[in-house]
Amino acid sequence: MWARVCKDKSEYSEISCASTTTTRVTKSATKPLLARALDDYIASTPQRSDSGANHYQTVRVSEFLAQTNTLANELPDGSYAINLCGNRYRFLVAFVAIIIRGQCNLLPANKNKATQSNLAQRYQSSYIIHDGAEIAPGIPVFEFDNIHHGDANRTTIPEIPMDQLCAISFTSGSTGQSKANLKTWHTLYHGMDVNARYYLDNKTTAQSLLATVPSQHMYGLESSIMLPMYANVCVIGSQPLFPQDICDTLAEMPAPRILVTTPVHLRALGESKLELPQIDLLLSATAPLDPDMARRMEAKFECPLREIYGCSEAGSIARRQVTQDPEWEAFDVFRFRNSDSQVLLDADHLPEQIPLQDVLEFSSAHRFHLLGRHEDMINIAGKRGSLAELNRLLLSTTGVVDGVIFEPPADEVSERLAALVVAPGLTGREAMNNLRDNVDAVFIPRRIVFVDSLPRSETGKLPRDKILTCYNNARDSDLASTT
Amino acid sequence: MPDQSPAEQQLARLLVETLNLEDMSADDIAPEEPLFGDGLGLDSIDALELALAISQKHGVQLRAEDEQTREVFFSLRTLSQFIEQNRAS
Repeated sequence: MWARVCKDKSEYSEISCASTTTTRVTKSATKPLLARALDDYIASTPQRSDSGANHYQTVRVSEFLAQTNTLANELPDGSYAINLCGNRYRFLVAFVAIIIRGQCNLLPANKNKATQSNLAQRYQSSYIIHDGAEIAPGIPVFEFDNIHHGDANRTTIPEIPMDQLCAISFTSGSTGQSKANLKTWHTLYHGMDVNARYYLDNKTTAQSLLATVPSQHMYGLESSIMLPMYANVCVIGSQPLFPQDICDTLAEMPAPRILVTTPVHLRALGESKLELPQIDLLLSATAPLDPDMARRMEAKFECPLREIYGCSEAGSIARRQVTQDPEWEAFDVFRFRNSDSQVLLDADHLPEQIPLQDVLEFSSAHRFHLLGRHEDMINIAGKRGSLAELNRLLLSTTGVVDGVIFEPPADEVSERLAALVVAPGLTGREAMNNLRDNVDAVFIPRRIVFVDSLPRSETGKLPRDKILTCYNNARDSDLASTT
Repeated sequence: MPDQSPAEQQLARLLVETLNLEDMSADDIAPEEPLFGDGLGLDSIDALELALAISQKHGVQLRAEDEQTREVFFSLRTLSQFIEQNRAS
């Protein structure tokens, strides 16, 4: 699962402390931008032909570098580029061009206009680069619609200073301000190295890779953007959403084929009744898969399903194949330490120790069971939030007298949150106004039940069993009144 | 609501049922109101769930190039038109 770590006083305070991330890096050191040969294929971009079928245009590393050099020269001046490119190949070209130009990619958890404005305010001298997003007013914009080619015969692989801040990944968060995770080239470069080993077992044969996750999410960034920069992987330049499109694209790709996806997409693929193509590797992250579901997917795709556990702060941390072994195998670069009922994670390529928000039980130094999340934390579609923060927002909504947001009972199909609300005269929509303005849409409760009062104990506490009883009673009487 | 076409009415009902839009009735969804972002606040998980419900109900597999998905799910009207096109082809 793509975990979120808790906020504590060690949280990075914006860019002012970027210099602290360099303490483990020799100032003068550099590493190459790509660990690929110039005539390797790095990407394959689908072009729709008149007949409706996709025609793929493969891009060699030398051509890719020429395009990124051209774009790097065209980019506006500035320190930060909010990279909202949706097309995966354009994101890759933009991501690298921004690094070559010496600027820093800002990778938000969503593309909402409020998020854009917030970032532009937090980071002076920033601009937005996009290929068709809706843009908040008042922010400098660079529209990246057309990729300009350069002279591919004269390209070399640039060296990037290890202490250069290349990206800031933002945890979605249910707080007003999302948390900034700084990624120097040192962090990214060594992350790529370890991921190539554990994602792909260091396979050196050429493989094609399709990802259904956004490039801006840390899992999407590592698997579909950084991996092709380091391993012999040709990434498909699109991001299909619907099962039919995923199947069609996989069928069109040359073997061996990898699909990078999530439990949400896998469920949709499984329920679609489509004939799924035989591929070579399934990678899944954001939430642990149920072993039965994993078994079904391995049977349908006729390949192993490898799950990745990670968080935005550290990137990928561990892997497992749950049909073989429910334990997670941590990547060998990480060190774990127990502290006050929390697990602290460390590695030479990380700027500092990271407190994990999950409960881990170790059977040896690098093998563990994931026992669950700390009580307050929720995870919806790979986005992590704090119930306490959501409840704070609910209770500060005009017209809401009392209320509680919680995870629904296990028998509900939807993983969306539910809410019990005391708010005479408000509609469900009005009761969610404050949340809607401040948090990602996935955290907005879907089933909102109005009650006269909450089942608080004498000390004001709300035990989960009391919440569920109240919720089920209200739900049943609601059903009875409508049938 | 008078301006929903019969196909849009049917789709609006499916939307409310599938996505558990508690406090909305199908009639409340204005055909040209944005479904995502500031409108109904739907997201890509909803798009997937809806696609699944549509394939189960109508036997139509939705397909879209990635740039197109946002336009397709813009409003009840654009989504309804898109399903009709998929059904026809």
